[in-house]
Amino acid sequence: MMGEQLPSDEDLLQRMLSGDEEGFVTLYRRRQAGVYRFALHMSGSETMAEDVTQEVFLALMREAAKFDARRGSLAAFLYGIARNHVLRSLDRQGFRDSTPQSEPASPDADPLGRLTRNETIQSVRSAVLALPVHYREVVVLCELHEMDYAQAAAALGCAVGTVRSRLHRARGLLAERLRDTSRDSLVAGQIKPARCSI
Amino acid sequence: MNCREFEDAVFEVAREWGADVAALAHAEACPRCAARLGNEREVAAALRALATHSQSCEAPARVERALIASFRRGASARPAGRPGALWPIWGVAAAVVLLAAATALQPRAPGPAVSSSPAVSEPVEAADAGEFATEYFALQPGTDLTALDGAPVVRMQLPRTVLVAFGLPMNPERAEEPINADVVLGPDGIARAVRFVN
Repeated sequence: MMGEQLPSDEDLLQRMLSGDEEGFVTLYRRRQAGVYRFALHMSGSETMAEDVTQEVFLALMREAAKFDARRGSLAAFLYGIARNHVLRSLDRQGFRDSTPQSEPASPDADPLGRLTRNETIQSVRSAVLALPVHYREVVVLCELHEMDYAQAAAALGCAVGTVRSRLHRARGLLAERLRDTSRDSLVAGQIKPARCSI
Repeated sequence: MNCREFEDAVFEVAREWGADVAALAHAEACPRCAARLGNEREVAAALRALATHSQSCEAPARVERALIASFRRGASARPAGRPGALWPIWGVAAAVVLLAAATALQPRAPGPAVSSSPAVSEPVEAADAGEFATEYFALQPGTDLTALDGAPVVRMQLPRTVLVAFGLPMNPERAEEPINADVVLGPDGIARAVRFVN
């Protein structure tokens, strides 16, 4: 049986540019979650993530002509716009190199497991948010969004080698922070994170 | 493989991106590198936990609704089959011009509602303390904003939905609330530029 070929992002963009609402909606639904999560991981703020997502797709409507498929995928283009908006928002709020707030945990039927998991998640989230922004963005893209170095480089507008070296340094910082967090938790007599202790 | 080469490979090995037999064999023979690999696996697992935890995060439905509304407004103003400018900005500009003219003709309450200070070339941060202002948007094609230095500025309130027409994000939950706008008047009293103040 032949599977139905999904339209590419570029096809959807062309449809969007010709005024096809369905093309726009399909493209939005395909890409919004990634953009939203990128902004959320970068800022720790759901409000900022929501605003950035809206701004990214408004910018796409306005500036789609700037997209050049030879320079990277449409997804990378969207992440690049999102990154610029996030950095501006963080600068505006004085959060670029400090730890912003984070979103509440989701409900779970297993309270003990949730406690341990939430502590683990919270430790990692805090450690990521505490990274300097140029390290944070490579961790978010390469580790949390599973982009390869080339895709991340296209989104960030830098060289692949830069992504790789920043990621190397970022992982070292993350390991240190998670180790510190684990030590603090033990000293405070709290539940030890299940997988974060190093 | 020596320890230095192992260091280059340890991230990929920890993330199981590929079966690096040589690196794994080295870790088995070298306690220091084995510990290093263990640490990296802990970091990788922690990041995977965060990625999994946030996998279902996405932008709220209201963002999609607002964007679709923006798209429809843009599409209705776009000549058929021609990509490009999506926003009926000049229609909005005309409304701003009329509002500004009406405001300028009315007696004004005492206070700082009208400023004759040169605001056009000032940076965004030049708004009053605690305010955030956008850049100025020209209301007529070809307007040289720098030529408006020293022109009078009228503070007025506009429907928040106007933001969308200028390609700015609008919080749909506050769509009913007006937004402050600084309108720059030309020597003839006609509005030439506008910025939005939050």
